Amino acid sequence: MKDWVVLTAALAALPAAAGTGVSAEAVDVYCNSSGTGCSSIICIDEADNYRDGLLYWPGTIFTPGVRYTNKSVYDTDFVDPQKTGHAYDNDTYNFDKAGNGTAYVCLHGTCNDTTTQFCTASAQCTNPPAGMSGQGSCISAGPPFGWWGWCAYDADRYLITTADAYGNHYGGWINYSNGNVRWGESPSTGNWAGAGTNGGINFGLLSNSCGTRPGFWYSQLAPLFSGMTVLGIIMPVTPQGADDVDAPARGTALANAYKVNPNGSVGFAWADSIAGIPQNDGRDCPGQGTSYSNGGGFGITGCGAQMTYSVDSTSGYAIWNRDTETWQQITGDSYDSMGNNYWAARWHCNYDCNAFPFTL
Amino acid sequence: MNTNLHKVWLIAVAAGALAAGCGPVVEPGAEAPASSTAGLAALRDGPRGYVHAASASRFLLGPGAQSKREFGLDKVVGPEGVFATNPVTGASRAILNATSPALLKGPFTTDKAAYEAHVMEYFKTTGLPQDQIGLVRTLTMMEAAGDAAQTVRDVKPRLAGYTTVITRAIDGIPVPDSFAAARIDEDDEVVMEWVYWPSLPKRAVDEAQRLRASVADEAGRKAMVDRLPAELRAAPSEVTIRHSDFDDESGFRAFGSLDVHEDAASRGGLRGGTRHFDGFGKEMIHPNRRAEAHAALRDTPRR
Repeated sequence: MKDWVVLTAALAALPAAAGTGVSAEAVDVYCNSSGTGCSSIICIDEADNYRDGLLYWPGTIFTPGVRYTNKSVYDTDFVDPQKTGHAYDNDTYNFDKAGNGTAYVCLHGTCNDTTTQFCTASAQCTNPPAGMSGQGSCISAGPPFGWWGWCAYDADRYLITTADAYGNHYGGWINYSNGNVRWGESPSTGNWAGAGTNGGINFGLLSNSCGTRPGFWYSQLAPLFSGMTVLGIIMPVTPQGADDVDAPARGTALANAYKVNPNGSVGFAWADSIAGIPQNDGRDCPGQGTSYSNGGGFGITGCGAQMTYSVDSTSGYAIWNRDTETWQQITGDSYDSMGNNYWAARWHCNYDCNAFPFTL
Repeated sequence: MNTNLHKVWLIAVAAGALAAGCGPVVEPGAEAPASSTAGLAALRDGPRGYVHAASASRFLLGPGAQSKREFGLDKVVGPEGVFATNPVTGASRAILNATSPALLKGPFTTDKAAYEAHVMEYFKTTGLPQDQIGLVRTLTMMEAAGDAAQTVRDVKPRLAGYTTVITRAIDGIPVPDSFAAARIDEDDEVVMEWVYWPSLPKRAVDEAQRLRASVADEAGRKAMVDRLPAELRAAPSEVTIRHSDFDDESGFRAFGSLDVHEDAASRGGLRGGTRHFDGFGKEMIHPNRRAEAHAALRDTPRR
């Protein structure tokens, strides 16, 4: 007990700030805890394409942060020790390391927030199954049937690393909605999130299954922030089978935006990077075939979006973070988020989500 | 400067600029950089490519744009944004500065069909090969903001823009790694564009055409499917021409492919993905994975 108190106090006291570091953590090979029963996806290339795309150009402002892959991606890499009081939680020297401005994580996730409850209005979504809570959202089935859908309920969102990663303490499941995964705290932000002041990143990228769902952004995503200004995430919309898919070009497309214009908005860069992903990466929307007559693909199976999300102490600041923070500015702490009273979001859909709104 | 005072100042500047309106689309004096990619479009022996030149673009650079070389890209840099061309791949992309007021304007029209026609006409005038156009796809950008108690159900999201992506097809065969995309705002200014439409080797087209012929009838399709891994035999598939991506300077590669869309269920519940096979059922590694480069990377030593 005493040891972790001393350790976490020492970590909290370290001078820390954002910087030019860019980190990546990703897993391709998933096994059970004994290292058997393995399956594969393509995540490492996506994260490396982002990291390398920022690093390896003459004159780049970015420098190498950490890189971990497969069994070297620990669930504790993302968890804040000041929040949990556990010495083994160590975002401090990993994903949210001081000196880093941005970091990309590509892992498995879970779509445990959806149901088969038919609905035509969110008011009908009043029966959350076990593990979900609150008033549900009736998520539209998408085009061309915009008037009906399925209920989704609030549920904590997870990143999942391989169960046989060497340093796991949570079975590989990283709950980023419970408030213990906190990114970007610095001396500039102070300790408003209770995560100390020893973080780094201002631009966090998260590529996983069912990263968030319309209607629950604040409860699912705002707990990630403790100074970070901009989060990029993939949001499948239609509940039945829509999901993030392998898309190595996603990392390339995002990093390419920096090369083109370092004074461009990182929030727009994330939202726009969907356009650089091959249109047949992912099945069509909503039927998950290959016609694409109603949309789909671009790194997402079914109907979905790439979303930029920010929080801050005022609405104006949250919107500024979303729209105006640049690649140059994410390397410093002058614009860190100072609270989570307000949110702002921008999303780029692979279908007509204006004519067919997310929720009914 | 104090963090949030600085933000207030920047927000005020942006609002003022928005009220004042924006400059012209392209500075007439802006010239293409010396290392322009002229000729890249015709490098290979198959279908011709298209390089979207700064001189043909209507991207909103603002007045007084200047040429420069940065991060290996040939750029035309204006007060509103940057138009950049990769001299190796021939890809071009234009991105507004974060402070450009045009970033926050709405779409040219909310009539999506009319919008798509407008983007199609734009690229037709710049020289995009009209006989190579495949699906025309439009991405929808929305925005919203609220307080901690509000959800997207409680606030009315705003339509922030459309991005029309013109995809490519050769002899009806999709080329998913080629595209011409643009976003045009309410003042008819091009506020984002991105084009990669390389010339292709004839061999890759021949491979795809042979593959298409081989799966044209039921017996041929069954023979092809039987060559695939067992977990993929029921998955949707399509014949395509695949090639290196817009940013890959390691040497252009292209091949005919049977793209198979694997779902999460066949991967132990993990996420799905698209896999690529030649006519013999041999899996092809897409060059956009940068497999050779990444093989040389090492994890950071643990503390």
